[in-house]
Amino acid sequence: MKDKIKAEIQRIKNKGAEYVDARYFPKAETETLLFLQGNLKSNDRKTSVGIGIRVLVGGAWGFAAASSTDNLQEVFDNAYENAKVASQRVTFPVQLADRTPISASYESPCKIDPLEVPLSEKIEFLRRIDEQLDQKAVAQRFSYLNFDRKNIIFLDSDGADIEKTIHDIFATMIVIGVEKNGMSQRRSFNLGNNGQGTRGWESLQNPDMFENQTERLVEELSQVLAAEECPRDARSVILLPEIMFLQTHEVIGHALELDRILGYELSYAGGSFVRLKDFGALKYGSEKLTVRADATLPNSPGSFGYDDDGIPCQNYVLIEKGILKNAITSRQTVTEANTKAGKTIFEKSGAAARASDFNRVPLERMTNINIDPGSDGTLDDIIAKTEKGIILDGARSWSIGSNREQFHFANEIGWLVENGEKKQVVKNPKYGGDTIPFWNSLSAVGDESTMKLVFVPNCGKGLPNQQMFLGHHVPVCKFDNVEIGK
Amino acid sequence: MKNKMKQLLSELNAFAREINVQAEFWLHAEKSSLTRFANSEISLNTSEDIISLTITAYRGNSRGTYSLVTNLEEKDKMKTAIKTADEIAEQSSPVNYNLTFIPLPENEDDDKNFDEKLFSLTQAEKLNYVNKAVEGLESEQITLSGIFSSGAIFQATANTLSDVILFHSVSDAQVSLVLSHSEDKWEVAAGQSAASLEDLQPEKVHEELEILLNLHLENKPQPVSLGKYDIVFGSDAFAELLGFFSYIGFDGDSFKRQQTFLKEKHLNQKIFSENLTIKDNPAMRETFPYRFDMNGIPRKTFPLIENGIFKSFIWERDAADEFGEKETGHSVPAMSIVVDPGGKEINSLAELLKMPRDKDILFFPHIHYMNVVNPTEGIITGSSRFGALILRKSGEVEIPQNLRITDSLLNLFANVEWLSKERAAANTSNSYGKRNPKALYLPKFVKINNVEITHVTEL
Repeated sequence: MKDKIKAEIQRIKNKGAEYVDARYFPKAETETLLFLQGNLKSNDRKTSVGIGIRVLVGGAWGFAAASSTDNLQEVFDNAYENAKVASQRVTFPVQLADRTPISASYESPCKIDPLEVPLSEKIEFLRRIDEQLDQKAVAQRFSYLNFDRKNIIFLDSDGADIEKTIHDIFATMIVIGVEKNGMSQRRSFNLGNNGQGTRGWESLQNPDMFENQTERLVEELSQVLAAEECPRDARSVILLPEIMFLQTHEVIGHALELDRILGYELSYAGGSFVRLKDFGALKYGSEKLTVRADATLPNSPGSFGYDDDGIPCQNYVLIEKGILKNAITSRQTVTEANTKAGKTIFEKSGAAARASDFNRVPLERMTNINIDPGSDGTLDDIIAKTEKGIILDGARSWSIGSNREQFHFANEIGWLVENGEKKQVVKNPKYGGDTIPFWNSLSAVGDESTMKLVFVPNCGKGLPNQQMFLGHHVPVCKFDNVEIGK
Repeated sequence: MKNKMKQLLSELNAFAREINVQAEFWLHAEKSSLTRFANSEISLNTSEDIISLTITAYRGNSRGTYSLVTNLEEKDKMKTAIKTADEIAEQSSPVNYNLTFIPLPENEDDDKNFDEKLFSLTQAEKLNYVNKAVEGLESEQITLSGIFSSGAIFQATANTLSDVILFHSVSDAQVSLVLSHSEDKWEVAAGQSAASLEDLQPEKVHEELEILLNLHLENKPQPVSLGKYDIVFGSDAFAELLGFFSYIGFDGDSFKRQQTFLKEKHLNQKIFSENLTIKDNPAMRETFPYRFDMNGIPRKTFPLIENGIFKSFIWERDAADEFGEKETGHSVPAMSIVVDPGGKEINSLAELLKMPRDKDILFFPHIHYMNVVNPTEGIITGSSRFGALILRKSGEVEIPQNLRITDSLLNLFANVEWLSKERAAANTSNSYGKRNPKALYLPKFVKINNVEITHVTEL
């Protein structure tokens, strides 16, 4: 099949295309298991095979995909014709940044492939979780496993030849309780790690990673059900990793996708308040804020060996001590951005181009967007230095402005902090604000002991739409004078 | 395509029975194309041709599902998939309720809404539409973004308890065009949903874009105080509210799982505005309707809200089985939500802007990134986008800064003051999975009073 694909790539190049690439998925498999109130509600397995072709003609992209590889010529011709049509309306011809085409292979670190584990063992694991969650305060309980394995072959007209096998595993548990007045509350936990080691079925065999969270979750739900309403005022917010990741994701990660900054997502996901002139100048956050895009973290859904432009994954700083330095980039957008800015802002592609499936085109996607650990100690240390605050955990809902300029989050649980002491639980906590003032109010960043790598299985973007896997390795962070409770 | 799919499904069905597997099949084929615009150019032009087969096998109250993305010629793979689904069911864990698995009632060909002319739209015709819709509106500072998505789906459903095959196909198109200011970062948008070629009328899109564009060019964003406002929602914005209403309002499964603000006590009670009547109406071609659901149950008009009275939850099959309810024909990829028209003669944006008002009111054509803050209180939040306006009491029209609404659906739907006479289709399709077109048919404008604005941001 590789030889056939290479031959087609050459044929289309000979027709006048500037560039051609193909993403062939000989096999992509997923498995989803959902236990709901003691019942196995989803027991689904899916296999897909297909190919996606991208062609650049006259500075414009055409793309075609098919689940049948019987007639490769037709798929390639469709992509070529699509590009020719697109080239009728070009304002800025696509120019791809230089890179050295390579031959390589990559496999994500996995000891026990979950897709090879007997189904009965996986069901028994979930049943155990379900039984542990089946307690008096719990009106509804969900436990969920998702396994994914993709084999991808990337070939292009420059001679790149990369084969990848990527394993991913996601697990979630949720408990819902109901107050006497009928209002529901919830607590949830998602599988994560510290970015090291392997991710496969072995991730779930370590009870501390997932299973041992059940007691804490149910206990905290009970506390929320009996709690007072979150106050409405302004105070310090201390974000634990299972909300801190989302704060980072929504108003740093998305805001710094270069295709958004250049206006490529305006009709769907939105734009960005960031402008090209802001790089090297904008004070995005306080000096305590250093953010990086690190796709080299050994063990995370945001690490994938080589991006879908065939470039090795990288680790680079996005924000350094509060100052915006870089963006999440790909071959196309760095060239366009530098040209439009009239100077070199981006030295090279950040290797962030990824497509979710064979029938989707690569876009700039977050890799692992991480916040460096700080020097403000443990969670207890941060609490001890907080006069009036609230500790927040869990993401119940989120809503973000179209240019990522403002946000609103509702959380699952809050603990008030007064004079350096953690006090009572409050329910229905919420907070919101404007992005730049918020990050500039960052007053404490926890050390390594506070960090968690949170897996994200469902970052949505693009037209046609696609969901991407990625990660955020984040510490506990404190922000001052934040409006809560609205 | 129809005959090929039916023939294939018959063969698979016969094979499954031969090897004593009890199963249901869903064969889905899609032909899709999407032209994406950004910075006034075609940033991407795509097409895809995808076949997928989903098999759910049953062993008593155990089930397992296996799906395959493949092509129609791979019969051996599909037959292997049947065995795999059965193995999954065998190893599965039975649920503690009885699963309904009954013969499909009768053969159905539900393809009268397939418009060959719409399906056959050429790339040149699509580009011509877009060029007409934005003619004279682009400039160096005002750039075009958006999509023209079109295609068709072909679906065949069968199960091993009979020889019946249900067939459904529909063609669809969705246009969404955005004009944005490259420096000031504001955007205006307009679009159309098409169930037939006649629905594509670029001049209407042009009219709306031109009005919004000129207003934004002539005015700077004004601050708005927090508090309660009367807001006129455009059809896309109101569709967004109704979309969330279907999850945290009248969905039976969500209700039983304590995730709705509507409860049993609300049934047959007038809790919303008497102006509001909402139905699931599969006779409305604009909604890409299903004449029958995936279990062969014929779909009829189903009242949800009648003159403000909450009429019924909906029950798809598995939820009905688990909770001992009667299924309501809602085992479908998309409902056909239709809102009855009102009496207000405001049927275009131009008319809305000229409408006399005795106080300042707001106009939201879209709601961006809406989400549920608390399902059991029905509280949602979302931001203005794509051309929100302040309609001053004086008759002037201004642009607001970015606004966030946070309010409960119970409050919003109880305070519907008026709905426009004319209706439009609001396309809410997404392309995260299989192509499954979806649209609501609802009044072009709906005025809701006392809506809470909880945050204002200057861009």
